[in-house]
Amino acid sequence: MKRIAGSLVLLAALGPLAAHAGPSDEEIRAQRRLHGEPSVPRQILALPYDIVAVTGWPIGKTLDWMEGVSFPERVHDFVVYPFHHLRRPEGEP
Amino acid sequence: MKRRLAAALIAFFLLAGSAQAEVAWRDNDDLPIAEPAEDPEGDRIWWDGTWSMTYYQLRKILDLGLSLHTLGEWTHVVSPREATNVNALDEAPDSTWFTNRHALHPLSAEELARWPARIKAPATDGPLVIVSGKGNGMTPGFIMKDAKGDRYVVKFDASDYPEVATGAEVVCTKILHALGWNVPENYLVRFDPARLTIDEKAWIKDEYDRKHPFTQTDLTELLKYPAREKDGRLRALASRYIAGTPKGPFRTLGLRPDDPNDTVPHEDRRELRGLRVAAAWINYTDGRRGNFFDSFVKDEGAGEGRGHLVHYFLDFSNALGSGNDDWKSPQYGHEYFFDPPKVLLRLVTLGFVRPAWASVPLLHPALGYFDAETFDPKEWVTSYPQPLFDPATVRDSFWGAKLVASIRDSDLRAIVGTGEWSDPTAAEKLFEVLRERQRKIASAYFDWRRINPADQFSVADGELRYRDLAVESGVADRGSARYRFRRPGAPWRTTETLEAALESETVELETSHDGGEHWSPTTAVTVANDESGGTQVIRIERDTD
Repeated sequence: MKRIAGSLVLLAALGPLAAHAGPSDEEIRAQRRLHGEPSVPRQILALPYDIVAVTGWPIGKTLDWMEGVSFPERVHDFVVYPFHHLRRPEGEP
Repeated sequence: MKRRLAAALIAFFLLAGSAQAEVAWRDNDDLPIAEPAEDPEGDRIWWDGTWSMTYYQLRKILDLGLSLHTLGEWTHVVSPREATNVNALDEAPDSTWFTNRHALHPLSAEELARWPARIKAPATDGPLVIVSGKGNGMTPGFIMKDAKGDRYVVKFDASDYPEVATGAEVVCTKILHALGWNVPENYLVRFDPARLTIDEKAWIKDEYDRKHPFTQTDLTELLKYPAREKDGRLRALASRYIAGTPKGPFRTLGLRPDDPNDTVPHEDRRELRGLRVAAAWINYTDGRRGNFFDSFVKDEGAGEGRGHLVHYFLDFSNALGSGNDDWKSPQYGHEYFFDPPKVLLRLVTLGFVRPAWASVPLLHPALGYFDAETFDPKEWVTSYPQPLFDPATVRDSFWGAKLVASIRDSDLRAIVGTGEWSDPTAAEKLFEVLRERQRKIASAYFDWRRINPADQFSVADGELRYRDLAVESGVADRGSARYRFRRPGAPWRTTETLEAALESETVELETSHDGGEHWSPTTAVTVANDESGGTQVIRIERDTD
């Protein structure tokens, strides 16, 4: 309950900010930004994953590229290309 | 922890909206910003799927902040991480992500079925000009311009699966729109293929993703794919171009760095966590990053090129029992497309342990494999792990279930009817399955042992009145329901009615569905006088177990 009271005090103190006519976009946005950057200790705790995540960058870029250029189709066509001449032309019985 | 969070949220929304002690129903995240860059690779599925099955899973262990918190939750040392963008009534305020429609201001069944307005549907006469191929996606189609000059993405049913994808897409679009999420305006249309013409600059991509001119041969080839109506017309799904400039899919974790309006990490947003419940209801297993979409809408008078992003959910041709171009395997919704523990179990048991989904019968040829019997809302999964849904708490799911439960039988029947299946029994079967899945959702998330199912509070005649969502949904027996209330610290007073005397500004409530033997976690409701002299509910704090 003390924390609620604390927040209400904060509200009362900052209330005029919101009531002020015509705050700028940046002012309003700053008020919304309660969820700022993670604290330094929190960032340190995330470090083991951050290190591993770095290895994902080249994999991600490679997979994105492969998907973008339809890599499986290209490999498939490359492999079957030598046998193209064996295929019966369309319309021929 | 919960109370501190609630207090911070109250402060957040009061500051954002008004200096008065009013509940904030609108988040001002549509302030003008400079145009963000497009993310051209965001809709790629390979890396998204790989990342969610590997790196995202590793993150849960190696990010020690997360893993320690999870450990704390298991041992009941800390509370779950609740969504951070709820208002004082534990609701998601309207924003560029979500608009609380039917649950807050019920629409008639006709209104629900009528959306989107037919006036914006493709013109019923005149040429339909193909301007390009459809680009990505599994179902062939194209982008066309009608006589009004409006553009639509057009998709068809596969010839062997008539009415499957189009029916699923039109019904699910209406459901998600009614519940509040942003979706494209999708129309079920029928047209004579003779109306189709090709724009001289039209293009299509080949199998190597290279552009080349769209020719008559391409159109002839493409029209071999779709199912035809008996009169030769094509039945199609026409999705009206979303207003604004495409900016790629939004991220499933964190913030969009070039959007200053985006201040709540996406995984912490109530409307994204709660979407899981609605997605489970309609079996939207393809709810992945590639089907999310940001559009930049310019704001008039906001300065050169300034506007804001609006966030959409796309592509429901994979929902219900539809698999885009065929019937979806009943595995989806029950298992990830690659689910190592379940595969291992089947391997070890030499296939003798058959999963429940393997016996799901075909509901109807126009609906595919879609059932309620094997549906477990808590176990339901997307086709691969979805970080937005993962952190959903009991409160998030309660909120999602409230939205789902807001669709009444008459609403559901009207919406399902818009699938326009040629066999009327298809609509009836789908209605029955969706209604039963809805009931299962209510049973899972209005569970009085986890959260008090009391909601829709109002003040009248000096009493706090409310409704028991579990009883109203038919998943709890009214005869065994008991309710008790008190002012904080006072002894409980038990009743069989949904009324509590207002003896202080805060009333604590609990519910029992076993005749008063056991009680739910507490919900605290705070009221205050408003300017007109009436009394309003200004805060709801729900404890969960």
